[in-house]
Amino acid sequence: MKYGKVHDLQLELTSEKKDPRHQRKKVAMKKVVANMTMGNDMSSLYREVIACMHIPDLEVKKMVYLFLINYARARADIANHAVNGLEDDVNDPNPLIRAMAIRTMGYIYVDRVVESLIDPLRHCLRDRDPYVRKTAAMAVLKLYMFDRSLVEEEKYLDMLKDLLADSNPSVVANSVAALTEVSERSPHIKLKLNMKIAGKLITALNECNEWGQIYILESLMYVTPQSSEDAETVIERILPRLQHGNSGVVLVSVKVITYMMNYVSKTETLEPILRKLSPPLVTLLTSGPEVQYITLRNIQLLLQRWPTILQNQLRSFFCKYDDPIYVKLAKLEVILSLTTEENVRIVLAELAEYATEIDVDFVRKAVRSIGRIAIKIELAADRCVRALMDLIQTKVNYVVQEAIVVIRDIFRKYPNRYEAIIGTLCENLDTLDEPEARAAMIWIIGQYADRIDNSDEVLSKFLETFLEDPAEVQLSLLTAIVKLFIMRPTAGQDLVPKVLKWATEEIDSPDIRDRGFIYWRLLSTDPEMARTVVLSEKPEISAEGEKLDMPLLEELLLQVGTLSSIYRKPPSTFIPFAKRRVLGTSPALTRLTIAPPPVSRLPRTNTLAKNQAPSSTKRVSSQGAEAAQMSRTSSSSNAQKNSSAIDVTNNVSAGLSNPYLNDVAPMPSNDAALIDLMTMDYDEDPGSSGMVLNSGGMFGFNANFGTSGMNLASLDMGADSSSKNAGGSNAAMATVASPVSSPSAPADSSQLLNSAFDAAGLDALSNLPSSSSSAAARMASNRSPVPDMTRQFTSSFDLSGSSMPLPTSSASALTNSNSQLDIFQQQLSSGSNPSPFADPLLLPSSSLSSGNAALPSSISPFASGLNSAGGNFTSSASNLTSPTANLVSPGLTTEAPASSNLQTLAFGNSFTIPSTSSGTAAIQTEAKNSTALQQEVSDLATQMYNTGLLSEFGEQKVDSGEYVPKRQKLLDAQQTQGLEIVGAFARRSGQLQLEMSFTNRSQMALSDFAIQFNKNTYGLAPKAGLGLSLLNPNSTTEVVLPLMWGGPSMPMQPLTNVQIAIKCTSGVFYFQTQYSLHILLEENGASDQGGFLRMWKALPDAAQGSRPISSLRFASMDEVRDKLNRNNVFTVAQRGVGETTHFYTSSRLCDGTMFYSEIKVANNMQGAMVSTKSNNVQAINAYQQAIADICSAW
Amino acid sequence: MLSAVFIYNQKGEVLISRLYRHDVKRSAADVFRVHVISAVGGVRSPITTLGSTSFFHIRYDNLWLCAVARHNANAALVFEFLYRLLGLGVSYFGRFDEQAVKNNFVLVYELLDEVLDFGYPQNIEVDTLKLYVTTESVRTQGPVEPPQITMQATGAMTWRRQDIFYKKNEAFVDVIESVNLLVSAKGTVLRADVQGQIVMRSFLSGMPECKFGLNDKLVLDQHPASSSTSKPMVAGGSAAVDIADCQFHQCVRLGRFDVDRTISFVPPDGEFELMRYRAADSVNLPFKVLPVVRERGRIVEYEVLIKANFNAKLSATNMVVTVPTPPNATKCHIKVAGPGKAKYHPEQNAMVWRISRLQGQQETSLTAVVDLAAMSKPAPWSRPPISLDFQVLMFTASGLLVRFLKVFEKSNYQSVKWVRYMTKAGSYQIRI
Repeated sequence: MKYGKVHDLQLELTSEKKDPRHQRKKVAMKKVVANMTMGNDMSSLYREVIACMHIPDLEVKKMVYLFLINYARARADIANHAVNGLEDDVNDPNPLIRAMAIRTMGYIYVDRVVESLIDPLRHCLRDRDPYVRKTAAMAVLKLYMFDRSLVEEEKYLDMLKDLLADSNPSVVANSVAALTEVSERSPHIKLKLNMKIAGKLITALNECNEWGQIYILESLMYVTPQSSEDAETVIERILPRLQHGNSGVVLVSVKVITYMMNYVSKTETLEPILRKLSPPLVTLLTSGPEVQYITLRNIQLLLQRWPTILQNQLRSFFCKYDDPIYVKLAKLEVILSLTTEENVRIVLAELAEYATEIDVDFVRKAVRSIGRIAIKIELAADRCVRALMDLIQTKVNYVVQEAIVVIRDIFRKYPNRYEAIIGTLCENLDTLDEPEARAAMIWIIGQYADRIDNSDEVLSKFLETFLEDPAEVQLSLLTAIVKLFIMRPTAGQDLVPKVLKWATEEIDSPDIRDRGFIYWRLLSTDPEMARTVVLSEKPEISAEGEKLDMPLLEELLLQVGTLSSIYRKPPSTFIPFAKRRVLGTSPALTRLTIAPPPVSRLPRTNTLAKNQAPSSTKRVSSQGAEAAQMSRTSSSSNAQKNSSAIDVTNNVSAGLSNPYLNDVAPMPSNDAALIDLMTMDYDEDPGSSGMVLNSGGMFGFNANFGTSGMNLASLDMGADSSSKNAGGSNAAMATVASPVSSPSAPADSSQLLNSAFDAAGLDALSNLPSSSSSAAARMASNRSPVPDMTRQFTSSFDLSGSSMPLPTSSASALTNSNSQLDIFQQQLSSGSNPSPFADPLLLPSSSLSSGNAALPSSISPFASGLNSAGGNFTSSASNLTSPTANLVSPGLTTEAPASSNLQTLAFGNSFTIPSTSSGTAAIQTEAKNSTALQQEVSDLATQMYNTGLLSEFGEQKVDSGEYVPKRQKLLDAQQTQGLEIVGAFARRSGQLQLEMSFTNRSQMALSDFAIQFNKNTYGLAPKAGLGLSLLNPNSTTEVVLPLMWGGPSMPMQPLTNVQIAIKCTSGVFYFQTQYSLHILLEENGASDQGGFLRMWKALPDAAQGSRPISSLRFASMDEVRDKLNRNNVFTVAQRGVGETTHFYTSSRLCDGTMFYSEIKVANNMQGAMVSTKSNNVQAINAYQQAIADICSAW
Repeated sequence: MLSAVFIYNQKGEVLISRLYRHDVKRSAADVFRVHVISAVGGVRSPITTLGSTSFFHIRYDNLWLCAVARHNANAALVFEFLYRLLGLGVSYFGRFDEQAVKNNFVLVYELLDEVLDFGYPQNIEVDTLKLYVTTESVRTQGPVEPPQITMQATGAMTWRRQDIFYKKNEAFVDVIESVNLLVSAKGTVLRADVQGQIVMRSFLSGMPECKFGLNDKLVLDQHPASSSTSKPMVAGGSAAVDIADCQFHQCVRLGRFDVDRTISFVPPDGEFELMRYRAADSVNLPFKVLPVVRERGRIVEYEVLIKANFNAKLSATNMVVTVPTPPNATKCHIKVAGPGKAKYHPEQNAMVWRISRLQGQQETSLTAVVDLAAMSKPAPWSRPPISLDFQVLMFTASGLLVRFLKVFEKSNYQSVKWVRYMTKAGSYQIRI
C-alpha cells in the first residue's frame, strides 16, 4: 500500500505528459508534502523531487525546498544531489529565488552544501536587492551554528557589522539579530555597541517593521552608557516605542529603559521616566491572556526595583471572573505587592471575593494572601483575621484548612493577640485532613494549651491517629503535648508518657525519636528548666522573605519579557549555553532608586485599639542598639559578661506581662516605615517560590535593617528578638521565617523558628530544604530567647567553637547527628560567614550539648536510649559508666552515616568524654543548682573572652562606662559595589557622634564621600562633614561623625529610626538604622526626690509603661547605679525591698521630656523590671529599651 | 529564536510541523501533545518548559498553535508572533480552523517559510505577502515585478503597496469601545474602564498622508482655542477625554506622537486597527444593574433591574444578560417586566435574558424563583457575577470623539470620510 503510494507519486512526478502550467507536477508535489507532514517517509523520491527544481514555478520550487529542508539535513546523499540545482538558483536573476536558495541552503547542515554556500553567501551579503541581503544576514547566523570557525575565517561577521550601516532597515534588523545571537552563544565574541552605533540603530528604529524594532532594541542592551547623558539620550529616544501596538516592542523597550535607568545620575530625571512606564504596562493587560501573564510576571519584578510605578493602579489588577487561571494567580501576586495601609481595605474585600471562587489553587492563594497581608501590614491584621474567620465559617474544607495554616502564622507574628478565635478554629478539628493544616492547628493548641479548657481532650483526640500521621504532624503533636504538660501538668500527665513512648519506640523517623528523647530527658531532669526551654519567647516572623535578593533581581531585570523573567530564574539555570548578563561597569553606573514619597507616619489612632498604653508599642524599637551591645569586649566583671544577650528577648515580654494590652499596636509597623526609604524592598510571591533562588545575602543593597549581617557574626548576642533583623541578615532565613513564602518548607521549619529553643526542634532541621536549614540553625542559635539557658549555651558554645576538646561537642554530635550533619555541610559549602568564631553554625547543637554538660544527670537516660537504638529507656544508670564513645558510634553509624568528616569530628571528641563523664556523678548533685551552673559556664565564658576571640568585633574599649552599642553593619559590600560601613551611635562626654568604620572591598578607590540624614524624630543630623576624602581598595578607615540634634524633624517609627544616605563615587546608598535613645539624654536630667514624687503622682498611669529586663551584667547595685548615672539615667533614690532593690531615676531628653522610672532589680541580678512615666508616652518604649541595653551591655 | 512551529487539531494530531533549527526534532511535537494537549487537569500556563525546551501555545477555534524555543526566548515576541500568525491565517483563508489548515497546508508551509527565517519573525504583513505567496483563491491584480516585491517586503512601509488606485477615495473610521465594569455585590464600582479601538478602512489612492485628531485632553489643553468643535450626539459631559494610554499600528509615526501628540501615518490599504486606547477616568456606564439575589433554603429568588443610562434617542441592541444560577437548579420561574425574554439554560447554569432593543433611559426588570435539587453534600454556591453583553451605537463610554481626519496626497484628490461610534460590553460584570 505504502509502496504503491510512493510509486504512484513517483510516476506522477516523472510523467512526460503535457503539463504546460505545471499543474500536474504541482499536485504531485502537494501530495508529497502532505505525506511528509503526516510523517510518512518520502525521502526515496528525492531524485524525482530534485528534478522538479528546474521547473520555473515559484510554488513548485518552494515545495521542493521544503522537501530538501525536511530530508536533506539528515541525508548527505540527497543534499549532494541537490547542490547543483541550489547553486543555479543562488544566481537566479529573480531576487526572490536567490533569497530562497540562500535561505534553504542555510538550513541544510551538510558539508557539501555549506561549502557551496560560502562564495554565493558573500555575494549575497552585498547583493543589490535588500531582500537578498537580509536573508543572507540570517544565513550567516545559520552557518555560525553549524561551524563557528568557518564563519570567523571567512570574516562574515565583519560583513555583518558593515550591514549595520545598510540603507535598508530590514537588513539592519536582521544583521543586528544575527550578531546578537552570535554574541549570546559564542564563548569569546561579545557584542559591544558604542553610542555612535546605538544612535544610528535607534534612527533605523523608525523605519523598521515591528520585529526589526525588537531586534534593534534588544541589541541596545549591549550598549554600556559612559555617562548619564548617554543613558538619558537612549531612554528619551526609546520612550515613544512604549506606544507601539506590539507587546514585544513595548516590553523590550521597558527592558532597555530600565536598564539604562541604572546609569542615570539624577532622580529628577528618573521620576518622569517612571511615570511614563506605568500606563503602557497597564495597557498590556488588555492584550491576549498570554501577554497579560508575561506582563504581570514582569510587573512583579519591576515593582521590586521601582516601587513607585503603578501607584494607584491597584484596581487594574483585579481579577475578572473569566480570566485564565494563570492570569488570576499572577494578578494576585501583583495585588499583594501593591497593597498598602491605604488600600488594604479594598484589597481584603476583593480577596474575600476570590476565596469563594471555584478553582482550588486560586482560592488557596487568595486565602494565603490574606494571611500575608496580615503579616506585612500590622494595622490590617485585625481586619485580615476577621476576613479569615468569615472564610472559616463557609466550611469549605480547603478554605478552612488554608485559613488555619495562615492563622498559625498570624499567631506567630502577633502572639497573644487573637486567642479569642481559637474556639472557632477548634470547631473545624474534624475536617482537617491535610498535614499542614493539622500541624498548624496542633501548634496553635499547644501554644495556647493553658487558655483552651479542653486542650488535653483535643490533643488526645489527635493522638489517636499519631502513628498514622505524617512526620510533620507527629513532630507538631509531640511538642504540643509537651507544652500542654508544662502548662497544665495535670491535664497532660496521661498524654506525655504515651506520646514520648510512641515517639521513641514506635516511630522510625530519627528526628521524631530524637526529639522525643530530648523532651523525655528534659522533663525528667528539671521541669523548671523544661518550662523555660519549651515555653521560651518565640521570635516574630516577618513577610520579608517574599523578596528577591538584589543581585538576582538585577539580573532578572536585564531579562524583562523573556522566559527567565517569568520563571524568576537566571537563564543559565535552564539554558545550557546562556551567558549571564550583568550591568556593564561604567563611571555612570549609579543604580539609583526612587523611593515612594514619604508618607507621614505619625502614630495613628486606631479605632480598634482598646488600649493605647505605650507598652503596646512593643515592637522592637532599637534593634541596632541591642545588637550593638554585644560586641564590646569588656573588662568588667564576669557576672556581667555572663549574661550575654538575653535582655533583648524580653523586649516583647512587655506584652507577656499583660497580653491583652496589645491587641492592636497603634503604631504602624516597621515594615511600613521602612518602605519610605527602602526602595529595594522586594516582594516575592509565594506561588513561584519553587522557582525562586533565595541565594542568601541581603535582599537589597541598602537593606540594612538595623543590625543585619552583624547578627550572624556576633553569635553570643543571640537573642535579639526582632524578626526584622533576622530577615535582614539572611534572605534564606527570611524564607524560613515566613513559611507562607516557601510552601516547600514543611511546617516544622516554622515551628522550629518559632520555638527557637524548643530544643528538639533542631532535629527538624533535617527536614528542611538544606539551603534554609543552616539559616534556620543560625537563627535558632542566634535568637534563642531563654535567658538562663542561652547564657549557658552560648558561652559553652564558644568553647566548642574554639575547638577545645570539651565533652560537650561530642555529645552534641550525638544528640543531633542528623541535623548537625546538615548544618555542617551547609557551613562547609557556604563558608563565607563573617563570624569571628571558628564554627558558628555548630552553635545550636553544641548549645544543646552544653545543656548536657551542665546537667549530666540527664545524659544517662538519653544516652542509654540511644544506645538501645529503639529506646529501651529503663536501662539507664548502668550504661552511664560505660565509655560514652561506645554510645556515640552506634548512634552515629545508624543515624548519620553520610558525613565521614563529621564522624571523625565526633569520634575525635568522644574520646575526651570518659574523663568528664567520670566527673559527672560528682557534679550530678549540683546539677539542679542553676546558679552553680551559671557560675561554671560563666567561668568558661570568661576564659573564652579572654582568649581574645571576640577581639575583632569588640572594637570599643570600655572606658568611662558610657554605653556605646555594638557596631552594626550599616552597608554591606555586596550591595554597594564594595563599600562596607560598620558603625554605632554614641554619646561620649556629652557629644553625640556616629562612629563608623568604612571599608572598601572593591578594586577601585572610592572618593567624594558625603553623608546626609533624612528627617527624623529628633532632627538628628551631622554637625560637620564626613571628613573622608579617599578610601583605597581594601582599606579601612575610622570615621567619627559629630552629630547634633534639633535639625529638621519628622516623626519616625520607631522613634529612634534614622535614614541615612551615603554618597561616594560608586553611587548613592541608603540605609536606615536605629540609635539607642540614651544618646539623647542630657547631663542635666537629675531630679530631686521631691520633684520625682510630685511628678510620679501627677502623671497618670496611662502614661506609664513597664518592661522587664531579663539579664543584668552587674556584680553589685553600686555598679548598676554608676552605670546608669554615667549614661544620664540619674538615680534619685534607692532602697532595698526584700529580694529586690528599687532605683528611682530621672532623665531628661534633649527635647525637654522628662522620664521618671522605677527600676526594680533582683538582688541576684537575674532580672529587673522598669516602670516609666512620662508625658511623652511614645518615647517610653525607646527609653526603656535604652535602659535595658545599658544594663545588659558589656 | 523559535526552533519550530507546530499546529495541532483539537485531538492533538499534528497538522503542520515546521522545524527551523537543528536543536529540535519532530518528536518534540509529541512531547507537547503528551504534556500539554492531553495533560490531565487542563492547561495551567501558556508556557511549558521541559528541560531547556519551552513550548508556547495559544488556542484558536479548534487549533493549537505551538511555538518551540530552546533558549531564553522573548516570550512577548513569541506570543505576538503567534497572534499575528493567526491573523494571517484568517485573512488568507477567511476562517482559520482545522479544515482551512488541511485544505491549504502547502500555503501554510509557504507562509511559515516566509514569515520566519531561522526562527526570527520577518515580515508578516498580509498585503505584502499576498504579492508573492499566493494560492488559487488569492490572486493579485496582475503580475508584480520581483524587485518591487522585495522593496515592498523590506522597505520602510511594508504595509502599503505603491500602486493603489480608487476612483472614489473614501475612509471609514470606526470608534469601538469596550466597557469593562466590575461592581461588587454591595454595589460599589470596583473597576470601570474603557478599552477603545479605532479601526479604519481606507480606500485611498496613492500614498496618502493622513492626520488624525481626537478630543484628547492633552492636545486640547495645548491648543485651548481649537477645543470649540461641535459635538455630535455622543454622551459624555466634558469636551475632552483623558486618555490614560494608547498604542498605535506600526504605520503611525511614534516619534511625532511623542513630541506633539499628532497622529500621522500612511495607512495600509483596506481595514486595519489604527490605534487602541484606554480610558479609566469618568467612564459613562451605559447600564445600571441592580440585582437582588436571596438564597432561601431550597429556592433562590432573583430581582434584577436594568436601566439604560444614556440619551433617550439612542438605543442598545443585541443585549444579553446572563444571570447565573446554582448548579443544582432544577426549575426556574422567570418573569420579565419590560423589554426582553429570558430562558433558563441548564448547560450554562444560567438564565439568559435577551433584549433585542432597549431605548435610552428605559428600564426593564426580571424576577425569578429558582428551585434547587436536594444535595447529599451541600456545597456553597460560588455566586458568579451577572454579565452583560450589548451594543450601543453612536455612544462612547469614554466620551471620545474624532475631531478630524485629514488626507494629503500628491494628486490632491478629494476624499470622503465617515465616522461611526459604537460601545459594546467588554467584561461587564456585576457580582451578586
